[in-house]
Amino acid sequence: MKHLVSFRVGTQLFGIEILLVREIDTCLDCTPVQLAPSYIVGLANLRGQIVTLFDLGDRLGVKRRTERTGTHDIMLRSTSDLALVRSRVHRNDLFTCADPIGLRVDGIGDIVEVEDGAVESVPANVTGLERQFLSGVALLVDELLLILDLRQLLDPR
Amino acid sequence: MTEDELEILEEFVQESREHLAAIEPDLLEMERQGSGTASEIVNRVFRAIHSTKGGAAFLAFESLKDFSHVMENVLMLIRDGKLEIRPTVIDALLRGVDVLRRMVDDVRKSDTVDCSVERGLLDEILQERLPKTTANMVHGTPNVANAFAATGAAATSPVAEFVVEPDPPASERDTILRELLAHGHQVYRFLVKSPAEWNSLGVTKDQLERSVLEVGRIIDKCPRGSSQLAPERGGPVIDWEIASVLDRRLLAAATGLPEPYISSIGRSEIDVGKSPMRENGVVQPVSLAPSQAGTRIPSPAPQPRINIPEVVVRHAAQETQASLPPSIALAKDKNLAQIAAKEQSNEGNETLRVRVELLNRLMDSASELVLGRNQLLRALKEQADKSAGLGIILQHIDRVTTDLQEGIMQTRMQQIGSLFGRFARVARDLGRQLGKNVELRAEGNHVELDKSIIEALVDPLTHIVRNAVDHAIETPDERRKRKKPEVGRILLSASHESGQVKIIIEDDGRGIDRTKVLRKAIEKGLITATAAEKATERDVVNLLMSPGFSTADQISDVSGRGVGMDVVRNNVEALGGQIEIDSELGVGTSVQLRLPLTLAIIPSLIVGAAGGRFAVPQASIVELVWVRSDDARERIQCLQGALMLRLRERLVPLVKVDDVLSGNTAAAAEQSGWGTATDNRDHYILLLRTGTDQYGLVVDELFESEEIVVKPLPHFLKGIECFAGTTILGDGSVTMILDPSGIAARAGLRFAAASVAEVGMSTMARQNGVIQRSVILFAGSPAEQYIVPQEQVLRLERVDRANLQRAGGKDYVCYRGVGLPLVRLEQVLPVSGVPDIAEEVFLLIPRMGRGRAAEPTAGILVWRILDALDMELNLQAGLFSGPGVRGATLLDGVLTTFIDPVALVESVHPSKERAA
Repeated sequence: MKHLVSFRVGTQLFGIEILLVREIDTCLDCTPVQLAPSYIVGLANLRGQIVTLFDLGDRLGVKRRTERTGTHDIMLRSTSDLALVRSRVHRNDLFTCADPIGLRVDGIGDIVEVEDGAVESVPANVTGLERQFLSGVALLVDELLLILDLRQLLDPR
Repeated sequence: MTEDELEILEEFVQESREHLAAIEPDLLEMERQGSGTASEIVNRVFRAIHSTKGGAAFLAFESLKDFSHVMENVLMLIRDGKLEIRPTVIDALLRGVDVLRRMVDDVRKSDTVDCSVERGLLDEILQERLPKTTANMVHGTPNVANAFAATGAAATSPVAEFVVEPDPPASERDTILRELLAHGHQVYRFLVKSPAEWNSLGVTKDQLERSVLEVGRIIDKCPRGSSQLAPERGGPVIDWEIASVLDRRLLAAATGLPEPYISSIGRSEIDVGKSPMRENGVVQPVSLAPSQAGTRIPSPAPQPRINIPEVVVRHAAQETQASLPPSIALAKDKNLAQIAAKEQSNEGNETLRVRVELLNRLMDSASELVLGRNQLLRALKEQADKSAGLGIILQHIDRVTTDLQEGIMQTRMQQIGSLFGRFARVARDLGRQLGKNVELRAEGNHVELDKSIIEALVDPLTHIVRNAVDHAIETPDERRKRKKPEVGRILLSASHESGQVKIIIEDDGRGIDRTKVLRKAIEKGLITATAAEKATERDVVNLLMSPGFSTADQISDVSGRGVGMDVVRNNVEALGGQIEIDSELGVGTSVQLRLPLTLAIIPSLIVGAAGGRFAVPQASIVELVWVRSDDARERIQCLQGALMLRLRERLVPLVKVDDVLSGNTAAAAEQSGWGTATDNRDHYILLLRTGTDQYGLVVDELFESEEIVVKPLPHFLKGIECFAGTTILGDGSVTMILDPSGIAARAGLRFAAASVAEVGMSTMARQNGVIQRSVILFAGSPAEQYIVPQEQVLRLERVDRANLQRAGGKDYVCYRGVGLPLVRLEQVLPVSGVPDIAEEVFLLIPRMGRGRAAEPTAGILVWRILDALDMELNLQAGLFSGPGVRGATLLDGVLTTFIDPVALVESVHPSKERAA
């Protein structure tokens, strides 16, 4: 059984394991960085820590919503953060990076419980940029939830 | 491996590294002093090796132990005067230290380190001496006649623990004890009282003895006659006095004797002289045969306190003296004094080992605190004026925060001596290899720098020193021919200079051959032949530090691989420092590095550009230039799409932050209409220094200066060369720190071209007879305005009129807690003074001396500071003359008097030298 934080980028529903999430903030003030990759919104100050904010829409190649009302930043745990969690839940498959990272999304959904068996591999007809960033797909009652693979997402290449 | 063991291991590695690092300078000193080397130095080396060996034995690193044992043997020969100190011996020892270092660095694989060559060198030395000395060096039993004679000498030398003497005679035992104590040994008592207990431990006496000898020394197997009672008669099975550098816990682990059976004996309680023969008043010769329980001379009746195992009160050391022959007492006296002195000095520099990681965390927290403080001060600024008391609290927090931060920074400071120390070895080894005589001296060892800077300096300095030995210092023959002393000298020095640390590496070698450098540069296509003719000194130095440049005729394994000074320059600049090279052909070269004290917090200027704010490190800002819209056409020029600023006698390339950050190329500059008729904007230009070059960075706005805490660039932005890092400003926003050299690189600036242009420019300027100067424009009263040269102004300060005071017919102003004499313009010149109604006035403090010695001697009272600008001075005779008046010029239609503030002040307050 996994608990996933669900969120929307554009109209699509995505999910990320809750163990990887440190906190969720409403859209933080951030400083854009010139010459940075286009998927980086900028840097934000989260209580003295400098967080790199990803534009998930740009990273996944999904069109973002234009209205900004639901915009949230999902703060991921950094490596040191995760080390604490890891030892508690004995999960070695969790992955994150050393820098504090935030994901800018269009809306936050529910926490979704997914049975381990209910996660399927990415269907062959999902193509494009987003495919490489997905680790699996969960079928919810009325919609597909795409589960993000941080190992790919946080790889600067 | 348990955590405890890991900790022990780490501690051992750490300590061994320190020991080994300390040995090197001592070995070099031994080489310098030769056979006259102070025994203190030899002993220090010996001890360091000895401790390393002890630890290695305990942790069962066999090769480490064996190798240090061999080193120790050689050192022992030296110590006992049986081996002459000569370069080959020192060579072998130095190489031995290297081996030990390699072993310690990867201690778990230390057994795999190949040390056969070094081992061979050391063995050879030992072979040469050993046959004659083995007998009494290693296995021999000390003979008592010698023991007396040797007492004095032994007093200053540590005793090798592998020489297992039978219970040493009293005097010797005392000396040994004192000696061991002085060198950090602890004395312990192993006491196992009943045979039942002993049996339950499951060790034999032999085993115990062997394991003790691995890590320490048995001083006495039956102290104070207690144990002349054989076990079967109810005496303890084991009652040994042990000396070891290990602590009790480790000792227990090392010997296998559980802690409860080991009691530590405090320094003051040590039973020096309370040996069996003491009671007789004279030291008697003792049998040399290994002692057996029964052969000891029994001392008077067993003392009752034997039964208290933990705390044993023992006689004070002084007691012994009365009972010793005068000569020994004397030696002992001296010895005691030495020990006392040592203990005293130890108290003076009590230190604590702290993990760097913890320090870093503390430093981070302190940095955050500084940020928080800044934010707090900003947020409460207005309230502080309104509510009484708040201001004082804020001030207090402000001060404490600063103290705390400085204190924590201090903990990371290391003396540069630790870095300099290693270069004597580098220079010596390389010199020997190249057949040169080189002596390296270091000055200013006490100057402190941040640990991270010291670490980052290792490579650049090594390179510079190797360069000096390889390229600069001539062979002895050549030096003789040039009538230079045969021994080439390299001087490393460090000193503080205006908030930075200046490191100079000077040699008395052959200097940089300008023509050779240029020839090479042309060969390598770094410069054209025509450009080479015009090359300035700076161009030559620049060439030296350009990638792929190397003048070595032969490629040696020392240098000459073309990786060189450019890397040095990059490294130094990455630290926020600068490098300069001065050289005189045939006389020598001097490389100067200027470095910030610390990396973590740097003063910087916040500027506005490209729609955001950026921080620029103050260290790289040479000056700020404001080009007013009226001057823009003349002062900013567009040459083949590249913008140039005319600054005094030079042309400086300009880079616009906006262009660089938006990826625009030079074409954009032309489109901007800069330097054309349509250019009617004010321009703010930061003159930045990168290496020996300067360029102007064009920004939109200048904000305040701020002390910023540098944070590394996030991983995803690492590739962006324009940024040196990020920071959080006082208002909480994240800001990028601009990297001057990265921007220059990205903008594709080619400085060689610029400096040639500069030559042309300066001749041009001279022909026109116009000199540009930076001046400060101020008003003395609403009616009169003046300019003073900027370089003659030490400081401009706003002062409250309340701080102006009059005493003894003279005006003073309270300035930084002292009364500074005040000069009013109307005192000296026929002008009107600062209006009385002005509440807020300014103080212009002239720079009276040169350099740092410039102490304020007086201040000139000024009504308003109007501007700081660069202008061409076309001076005419003014309306009036007087002290310090140099002429007048028209500025925007207003007649402006040009004043020499120094002369003005001196006319009222003659300086001491002039008065004399």
